[in-house]
Amino acid sequence: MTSTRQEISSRAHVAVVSICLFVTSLFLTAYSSRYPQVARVGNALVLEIVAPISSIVETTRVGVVTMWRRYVYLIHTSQENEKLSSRVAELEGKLAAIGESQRENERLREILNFSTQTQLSGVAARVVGADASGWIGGLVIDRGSRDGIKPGMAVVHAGGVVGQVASAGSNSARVLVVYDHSSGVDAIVESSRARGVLEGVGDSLCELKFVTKDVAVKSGDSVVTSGLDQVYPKGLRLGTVTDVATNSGALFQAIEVKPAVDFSRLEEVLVLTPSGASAESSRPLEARKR
Amino acid sequence: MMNRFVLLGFVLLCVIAQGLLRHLGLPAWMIPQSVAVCVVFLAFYDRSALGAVMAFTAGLMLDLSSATLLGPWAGACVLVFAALAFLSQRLFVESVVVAMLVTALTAVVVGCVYILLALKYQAISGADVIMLVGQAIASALSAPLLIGIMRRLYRRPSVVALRRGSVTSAI
Repeated sequence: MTSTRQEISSRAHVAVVSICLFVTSLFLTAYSSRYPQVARVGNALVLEIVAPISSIVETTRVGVVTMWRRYVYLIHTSQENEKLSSRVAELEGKLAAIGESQRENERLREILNFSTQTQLSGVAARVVGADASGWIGGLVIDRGSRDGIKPGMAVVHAGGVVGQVASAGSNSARVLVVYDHSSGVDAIVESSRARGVLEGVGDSLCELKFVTKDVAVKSGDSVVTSGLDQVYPKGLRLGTVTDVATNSGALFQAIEVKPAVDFSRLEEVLVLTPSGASAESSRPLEARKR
Repeated sequence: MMNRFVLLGFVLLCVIAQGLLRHLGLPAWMIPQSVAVCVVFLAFYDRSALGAVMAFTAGLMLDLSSATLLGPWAGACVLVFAALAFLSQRLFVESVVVAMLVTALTAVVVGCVYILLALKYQAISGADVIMLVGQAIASALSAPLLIGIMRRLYRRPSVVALRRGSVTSAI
């Protein structure tokens, strides 16, 4: 009986308190809807508690996610890596092609500038090959008789003289370079004006012959074309003196000349045509050969 | 008294955990309504005026965490607590299945009362219904674990007696 009464009393207590609290909640709801800052202040207090915990959890989450992505979840990484590798290879190829085009453009511009500065007209050609035997200093260019190329025409580059056309096919021509044994160019030393004949000695070197002992020639002097051979226009750079030797019994000095053109890097050349400054200087190559 | 604070502290942690789970990208319908579980626990094991105050406080925590209105969750919790407190005498509260079913129902009812009190019923959509049902299921599934933890934290004589099997003495 007593327990029943206590139970009823307890239930009543719960009911009364619950109703009071419910009414309070209604009041709070109405009040906070009218004054939202109340809820915000309360939330700020909660945030003070939550923020450090959130920070720890977020740090942990980022760490776990990073670990997962970098060390565990690597299913697609291999495929992606392959894709990216092929893409990189493709782009590298394109980049190389673009770079090559740019360099070619620069070289052609250099030749064009050279042509403009020297008032020489000619046909630009690309070096497409070299002498297969290796015994002859020769180059193959991609222009031939169809482009007006004829044997004996001078072939130059922005750096200096390359050689002369030895033979011409319809679409290609063979050029005999200045350092070949069978090449000879009438030349003068720029500083002393000493005249001689520049002959090839192979191994990308030349020798300036027939310069008398009384003329002072020293290493570093520039050697240019004299224009008297009627093949090359006057004043084109042939090379630089690298060594001068004088034998007591000899009449002439032995002057070693390094060609001005770097033949190992030669890719484009200019074939001087008769309409240029040396229009009348074309002469069969055989005439120069000894 | 100390046990009640510990329990409220645990509920606060659960509310914070709910927020963090949302932050981690878990959909809202998958996150259990820990306050509903707390209300069920209090209605089962602390059917007193102080239990009602605790249910109110637990709801108020949820209100504070949302920073919109103070009171709707608290009102919903205290209302459901009162109803459950009267009904719990007719329920076998030690049964896990009963606890889960009651928790699911409580989560739905608390949610509905909240919607009514916060005047959100005008804007209710299908997604809200899915969320309500999803949260009810998630709460029901998490109820055995959460109620087990709460029972360990809330070692009141009545609860201890209930665990020993003397149901009558507890009531």
